[in-house]
Amino acid sequence: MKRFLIGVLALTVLVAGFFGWARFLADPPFGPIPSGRLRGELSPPPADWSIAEGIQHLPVEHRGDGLPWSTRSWFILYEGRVHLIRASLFGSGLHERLREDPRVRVRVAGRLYDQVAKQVDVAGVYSAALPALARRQFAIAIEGEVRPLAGNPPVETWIWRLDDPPVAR
Amino acid sequence: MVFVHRLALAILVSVALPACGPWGPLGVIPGGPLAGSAAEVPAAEACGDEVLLAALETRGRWFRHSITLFCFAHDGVLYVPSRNGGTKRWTRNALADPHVRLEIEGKLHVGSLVRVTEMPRGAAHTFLRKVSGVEVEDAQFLLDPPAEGEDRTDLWVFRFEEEAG
Repeated sequence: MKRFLIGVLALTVLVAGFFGWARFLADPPFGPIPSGRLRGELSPPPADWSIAEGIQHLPVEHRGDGLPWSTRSWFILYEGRVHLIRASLFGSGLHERLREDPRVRVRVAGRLYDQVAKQVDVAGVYSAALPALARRQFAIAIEGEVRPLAGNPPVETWIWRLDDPPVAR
Repeated sequence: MVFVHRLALAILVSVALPACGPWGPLGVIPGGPLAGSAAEVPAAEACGDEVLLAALETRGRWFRHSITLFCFAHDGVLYVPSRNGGTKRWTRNALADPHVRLEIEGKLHVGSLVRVTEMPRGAAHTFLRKVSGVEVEDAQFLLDPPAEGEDRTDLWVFRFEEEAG
């Protein structure tokens, strides 16, 4: 019985240790499990975000519930700014956290950039940006006009434009 | 001592059982064998416009492996796509043993998966209408592997062939 108890305890420690590592220490985030603080050199925001081209998922850290929470987010470059994209299919956690606190930190090529997320009108951005997003994330080549269908789409989509934070005085 | 035993048992049950099943996937966390009642309608019909997700059970070497995935139907055929399919355990399982079970809205569909290398014209339109709520002039799935350095997902698509009743 003692061995059994030790075995159960060891298994529990192993599982808890794995989830603790994944939640707070893994960098980049491990699979679908959100992680903690992103590591890298904090830098002033770049003038040109084309440095993010060629990346499938952008590591994003936010703090809507107090603790650092990092995920890998879909994004597009539109009108020179990074726009984060989240489909309701993957849960509404990011949406809720950014509503609580819009400050985010993103990592591109090992450098960290502080930004402020501002939710934007999906229809305005989506039609223009969908071809690039669909090619990258769904491997679909779109040609020609993109028209939103009437009514609510089955998958709700949220888009946030990342702006430079106000300069501290 | 009785308390300790009960505590140990509770921990064991909570840790071990979800990994053994019969449990399907829990959101993005993979699971074991699926449970559910037999389906009464074809899978392509069950996966209508309002149904986005299904659970797929594949057969690994040792264990059943189930995951949540997106499904869509086009011209009466059900498709399950996989982004970066070459890195997924379920796609490897399906290539090794195509027999799978698919759970849609709590109902089980038994059949097999066949990887497709070319999608019918119009399938991408159907996909975009369902996922993005948009109509596009022209669209086509790109199922060839992305070139080196290209930031396009390596999309694998499987056709679900359901076993007759």
